[in-house]
Amino acid sequence: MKQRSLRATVDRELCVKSGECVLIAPGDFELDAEGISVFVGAIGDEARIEEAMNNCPSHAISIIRERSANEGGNQ
Amino acid sequence: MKTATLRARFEPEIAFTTYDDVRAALHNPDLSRSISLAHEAGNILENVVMVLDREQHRDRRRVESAAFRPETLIEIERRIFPGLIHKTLAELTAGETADLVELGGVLTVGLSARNAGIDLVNGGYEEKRHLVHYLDVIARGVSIDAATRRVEVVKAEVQQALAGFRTDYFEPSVARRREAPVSDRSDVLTMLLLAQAELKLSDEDIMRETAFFLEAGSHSSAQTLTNTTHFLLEYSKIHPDAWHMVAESRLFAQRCVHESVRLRPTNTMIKRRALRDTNVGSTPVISGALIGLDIVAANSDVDVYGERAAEFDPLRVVPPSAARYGHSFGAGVHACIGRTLAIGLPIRDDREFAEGHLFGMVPLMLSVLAARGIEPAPTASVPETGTRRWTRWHSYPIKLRRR
Repeated sequence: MKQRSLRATVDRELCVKSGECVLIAPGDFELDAEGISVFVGAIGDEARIEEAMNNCPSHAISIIRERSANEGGNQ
Repeated sequence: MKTATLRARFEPEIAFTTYDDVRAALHNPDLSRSISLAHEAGNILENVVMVLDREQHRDRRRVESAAFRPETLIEIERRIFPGLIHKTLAELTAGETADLVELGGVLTVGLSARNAGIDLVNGGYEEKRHLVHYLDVIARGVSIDAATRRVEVVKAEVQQALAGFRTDYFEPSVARRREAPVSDRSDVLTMLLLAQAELKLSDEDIMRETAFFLEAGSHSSAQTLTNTTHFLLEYSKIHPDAWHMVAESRLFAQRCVHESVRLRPTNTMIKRRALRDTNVGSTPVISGALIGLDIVAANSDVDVYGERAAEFDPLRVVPPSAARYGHSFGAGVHACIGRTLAIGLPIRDDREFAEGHLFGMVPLMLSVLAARGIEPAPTASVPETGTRRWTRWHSYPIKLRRR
């Protein structure tokens, strides 16, 4: 069975501290002490993480999809 | 004639009408929100966050975001706003005619003032009406590019309203914050005063910025409440249980508001000025060009919202990649900072909403008014709004059957 792991990154220079991502994907994003968003990925809800990325006003969120180590397929 | 020339120059050279093109334009950093210094200078818009670009915009917005933190929005929606609505409505008598535009303004202005950092004297209905009057005038300055009257006349009225706002509200609020700082305050005014040197802001800049936030929070919400009510009064003729559903289900109320915002956006034609040569979709845009983003057309794009896109249908199924409310709140760096507070978080048809879902202030007001039995009241002629933004109301007489 194919498996993919997903993580997101937040560009600290671009983030405007709107907190939109925290509201849309709670548990996957948090605000740090400065109010900047960080990806924590505690839930891993792919749809919500994607929605948070699409709604980020400053385009600070990027999603990285990685193939897991046990994934088969062409090498 | 000077005004005619100015107005003619404000007809966009290119208009974009599809959902995808408008989305691309809103996300394009080479298209500036600052479209004309002639309209901004001496107006409410001068140097406010809405017309800034790049780092200047980012730095201002970072400071102001503190007033819209997730925990603040949750606190407002679940604890503060419900109490404010009931307190305000208690001052209305059942059966008497009220103006929904004014009522919406009065209901939201207390909360908007709290967020903007403007202290009210007693917070009563009459004081709020007084403040709403200032904001109505200031709103004409915000939408000056669509004014039907001479730009100089609009600016003069805005200056007069700002002078009253400064004396009655702004200066006392600033004095209070400078004399006795409160460490846990996070309203826009407090945050701007703390960052005043860093952001190189004059007191006048801060006054316009707080007035702008106050106007955006109150005036737009009142217009959205009115537009949704207008749609529902028609919709309920075919769906007699609609008002009952609005009263009973906050989610249905939110669907109605999102649908109404899609069809009747507060700004029907968003404008942008190209800072350099760029592209929107496959269309080249040359440096300096004024472009128009036809929000009404884009929000009714049949490729996104289906063949009956132009109809009010709160139960419409919308693809996950699109917003139910279309592009009405903008997108990208200039996306409306108060959107979540006003209309809540996006609704998706393909899954349940999260535990922390927010419905927004306007759906909450709509639900409460529905529970009190809202109905139209016959009236004489309604004055002109003074703007080409045809989705706005000057007044909308209603009655509430129950207190």
